[in-house]
Amino acid sequence: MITYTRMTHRVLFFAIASMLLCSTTAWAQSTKKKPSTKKKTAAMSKATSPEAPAAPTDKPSLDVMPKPLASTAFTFPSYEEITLSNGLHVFVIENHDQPLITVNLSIRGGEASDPVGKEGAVSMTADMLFKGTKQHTAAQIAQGLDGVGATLKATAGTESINFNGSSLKKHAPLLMQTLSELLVTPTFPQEEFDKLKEQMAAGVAYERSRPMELAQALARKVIYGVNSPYARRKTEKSVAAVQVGDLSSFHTTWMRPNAASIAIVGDITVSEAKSLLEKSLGAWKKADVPTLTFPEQEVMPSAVYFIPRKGSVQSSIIVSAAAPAMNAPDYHAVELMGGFIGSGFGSLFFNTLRETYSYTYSPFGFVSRGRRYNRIAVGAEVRSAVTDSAIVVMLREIKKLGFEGPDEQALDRRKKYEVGNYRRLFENPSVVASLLQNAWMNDIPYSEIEEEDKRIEGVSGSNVQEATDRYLNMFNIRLVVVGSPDVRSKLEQFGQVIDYSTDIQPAPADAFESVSLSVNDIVAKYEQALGGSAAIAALKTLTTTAETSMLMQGNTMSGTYTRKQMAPNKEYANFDLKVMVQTQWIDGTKAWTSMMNGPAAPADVDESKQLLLDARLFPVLSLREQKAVVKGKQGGMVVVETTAPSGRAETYYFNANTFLLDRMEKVESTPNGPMTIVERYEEYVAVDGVMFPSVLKVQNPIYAITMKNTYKGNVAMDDATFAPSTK
Amino acid sequence: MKRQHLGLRIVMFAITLVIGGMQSQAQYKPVQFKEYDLANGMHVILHEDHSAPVVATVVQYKVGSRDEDPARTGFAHFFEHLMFESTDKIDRGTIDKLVNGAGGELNAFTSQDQTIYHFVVPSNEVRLALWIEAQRMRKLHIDKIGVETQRGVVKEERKNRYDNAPYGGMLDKLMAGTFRGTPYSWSTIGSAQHIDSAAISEFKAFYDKFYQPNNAILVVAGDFDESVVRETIDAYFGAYTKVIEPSRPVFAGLQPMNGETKETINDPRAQLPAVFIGMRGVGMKDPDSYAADLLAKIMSNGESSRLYKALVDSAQISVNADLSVIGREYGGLVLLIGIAAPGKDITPVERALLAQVAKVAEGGVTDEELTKAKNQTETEFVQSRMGAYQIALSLSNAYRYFGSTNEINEELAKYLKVTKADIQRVAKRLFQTNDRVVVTYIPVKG
Repeated sequence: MITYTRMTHRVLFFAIASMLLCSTTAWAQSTKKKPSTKKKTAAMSKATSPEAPAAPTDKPSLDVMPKPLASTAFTFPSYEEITLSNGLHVFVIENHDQPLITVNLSIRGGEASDPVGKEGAVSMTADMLFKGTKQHTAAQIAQGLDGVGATLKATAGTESINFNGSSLKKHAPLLMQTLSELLVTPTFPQEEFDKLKEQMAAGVAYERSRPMELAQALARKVIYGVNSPYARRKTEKSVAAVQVGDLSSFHTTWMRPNAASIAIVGDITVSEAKSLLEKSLGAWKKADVPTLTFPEQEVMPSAVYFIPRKGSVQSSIIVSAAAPAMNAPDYHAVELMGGFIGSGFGSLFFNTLRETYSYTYSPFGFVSRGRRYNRIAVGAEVRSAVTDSAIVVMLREIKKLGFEGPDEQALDRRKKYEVGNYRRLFENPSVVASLLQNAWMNDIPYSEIEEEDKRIEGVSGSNVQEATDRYLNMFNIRLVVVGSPDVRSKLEQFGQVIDYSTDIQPAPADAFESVSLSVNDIVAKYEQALGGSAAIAALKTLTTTAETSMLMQGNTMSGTYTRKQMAPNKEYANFDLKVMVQTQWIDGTKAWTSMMNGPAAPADVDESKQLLLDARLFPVLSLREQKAVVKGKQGGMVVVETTAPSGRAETYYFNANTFLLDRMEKVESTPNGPMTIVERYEEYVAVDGVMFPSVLKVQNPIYAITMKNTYKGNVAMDDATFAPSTK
Repeated sequence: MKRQHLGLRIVMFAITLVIGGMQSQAQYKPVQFKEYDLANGMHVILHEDHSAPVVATVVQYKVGSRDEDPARTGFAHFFEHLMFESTDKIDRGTIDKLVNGAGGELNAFTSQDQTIYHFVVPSNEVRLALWIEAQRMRKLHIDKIGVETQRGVVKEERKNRYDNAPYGGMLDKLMAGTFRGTPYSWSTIGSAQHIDSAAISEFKAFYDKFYQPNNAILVVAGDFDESVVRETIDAYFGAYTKVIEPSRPVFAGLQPMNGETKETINDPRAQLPAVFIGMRGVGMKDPDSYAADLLAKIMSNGESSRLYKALVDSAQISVNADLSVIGREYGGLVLLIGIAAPGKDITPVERALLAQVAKVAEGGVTDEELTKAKNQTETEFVQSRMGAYQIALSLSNAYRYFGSTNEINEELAKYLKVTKADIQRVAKRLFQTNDRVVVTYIPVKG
């Protein structure tokens, strides 16, 4: 359970957020989900219940939805396993329908083994195997395969290199002989390597033109961390850095039969397959293969990660979060959840984003299938104008799923659909073979593959609800958006917006123009802009009342905010959103807080320190007394950075013309890592000769609050206001 | 879409090949099917195959964008979306739920010539698939809410496929240029304005005109019992009545191209310059279509193909060079694609593509090239028919376009009969002309 132990924020926003989280979770846990009261679909109610199977003799009628016939048993295709003398593990699935052979070879060691700064090396190794062997040139290899209509391709995955080949049975010896040459005697000719580099660079450029690919690449970086091999990505620069020696070295080190499996599927018997393989791949020598060290998953801080893409008419939006490894007990629930939220007909996003609002053509939802750790990604490509509305709908649907759990009928349909998908794979035995190979490579018991349908059927509504609550709660999710630069301002309500380039690198900030102002000069100008030291000194108390609205997890709540302050640092504040109420008292030396009108509790030492600082009427003036640095001028703002006495990093943005404060960013530490909170101050008005913002916006990835403030100056206040009643 | 081979799952004839028997000529058992017409004119094709417990259904309506009123383009595709709305017995938004809930999958697509709906379901749910198809064939509800929703969805589809994608809309520009004056000149997705300004009554009239049993072909393929399926089809579709054949725009009015038309587009979404060249091709029923397909393979299938060797491997001016022949019922398109290598100019790519097609028209192809293309065709013929859905789709197209479902079994022989002289004749026919549309995309930095 996530709770914030420190309530250091001016209006205790964190505490409110965590309280809401507590209450929803507590509710979810303590309330057994009620059976769905939603009316049955007309198709269901108008037609006969599809419970008992129809006997084939039942008369079908156009006016009645049919019952299913008696079901045919699904059985997992039979397969054989053998190991060759060089350690190559072999699967054979016989299928004599067609005179066709398909071959999948999967070798441990993939792009995760790219040397740092040379991303693309392993992928180029896979391609270069085809570019020359001791026996044949690239042109001869291509001509040989094309000439008989055979196909053979190699692709680099994250942790494996995979070959897929296919030919008519009569050409299988040629196919296997070619495969053997590529594996055993590649020559990596320099001239072909130079050409390949050019093509690879073009591939990098092409990927950059596809917005959803950019968004997914950025989401991988955000969720896996910059150092994860799952997140690394080739660039023109890294491709240019690769040398031909990197390729031969990868080939020698990693591409060994004892770290590989091969599946032969089709019109061949086990003994034919064995003799074909011994003959063709017997010369492939075994050797020790290194173990890959993998850094831990390191999710980047909560924020909106944005790639501005000129010319975009749609925004590609991903809500992403960390997910467990494939062998985790709740992996299946998480995977089902991903599809339930976003994938295909009938998913939550399809029903809302597409069929209710017409925001999108094709929403999506999936969970990656890595052996170490994973990523959930749900989202859609929506027209630019509804970027924010679509995110609101997405967050609302996710929150609702974690709060109420799935509609049982809808989940049941989803499960049947997923089971159907799994069983339809049996139409293609080579897909079945690749599932087995994947399990072998990742030390997953075959029973997991063979009984995938039972595993899916075993996921309950509460499993999906718990998975949503655990992995897609508001602290864990990260927003990634690729879209027109114009949509940036629509994203601010979802938290600090961090710009990335189309190379998936942090966008370089505009350079700071130097300014010839000290911190004291800036504060003096600010003080002048507020109304001058005399007017400030004359303001002894300030009463703030505000109409407040808070957007959180796609829902908007309204309420009121009342704050009374007395110089220098006494405060009473009450934040009332009806469903949650929070109060705090600061009497100048001590601080107390209370939730939901409950008993006031004294704040702990650290918390009190921040609350006392935040209670000041004019905290910005104190920049004079603390260590602060003038960064310079950027985007029309004069920027000052400081560390507050409480240890909190703060950045102040003063309007370079008026010297009023435009916004302040502060980094709060949370159990989920640092989180940046942005406060924006807009529409200043004079209160007894001193300027205050009549609109205050507080934005972070958890919620966005807008306050419309009304002020009164120098209203008489009693000291008792600033301490909780002792009654 | 490239011309699809109609070949089916092929079962080897009596002989067992010994591995290494490179010279043996495989023989293929014909695909078995039964076909008949209901009294209302709906054509039914049944292909029974019990190798996997799955049934696919395909309903092909003989309506595509070429059947549209030029002032109402996009109707055929828009209808594909409406067909997932409600019917007399099926509530809005439940077709997908019924099918997914039965463990099945569903989709649909529209081209210039046809609209295809398909389901793949566990074999015991074959009746559900047929029932939904029967319900929406004549009992679809065409109302404001469905039309409004799908208007929005189709607009997003248009953006996704055209407006937000690099080189988006390229194919439409080429079709417009090569087929000016005919109904192939507008895109299947059509005009948003046309769809927006159409009244509900117009959608209803379109439905009543084209969504009729005698304008449909139903194929059921996979693991089913013939008597159960026949009885079910009779019960669900039999009561519908035959209507008069829909009148279609006459396929005429093709305008002369008068040489080369060039357009250059600055595309902020593209990263590399690209050139797309469209020329008139051959229709799918044209006897030259077999030679044209083989020619396309010789030009650009694999790394031993002419375009790859010349533009990508040797001159290194291009990262992708391709020639496709796209067949439609009443004509076709030759599509040449060249994407420049990074830092390379697009003009030499365009020149090299045209030089290569001129060269093959002038000099023909070699025996080795022809054999290779035939071998590739033979392999594809066997490979491309994995699964009940592919088989069902191929059967419906064979009947629809060739008037003979058995084309599926006769097609490979037609490819194998093509000679070098045929290829050169077709190359001359296609390429010895100055009539072409050239669209060049130049990336602009955002």
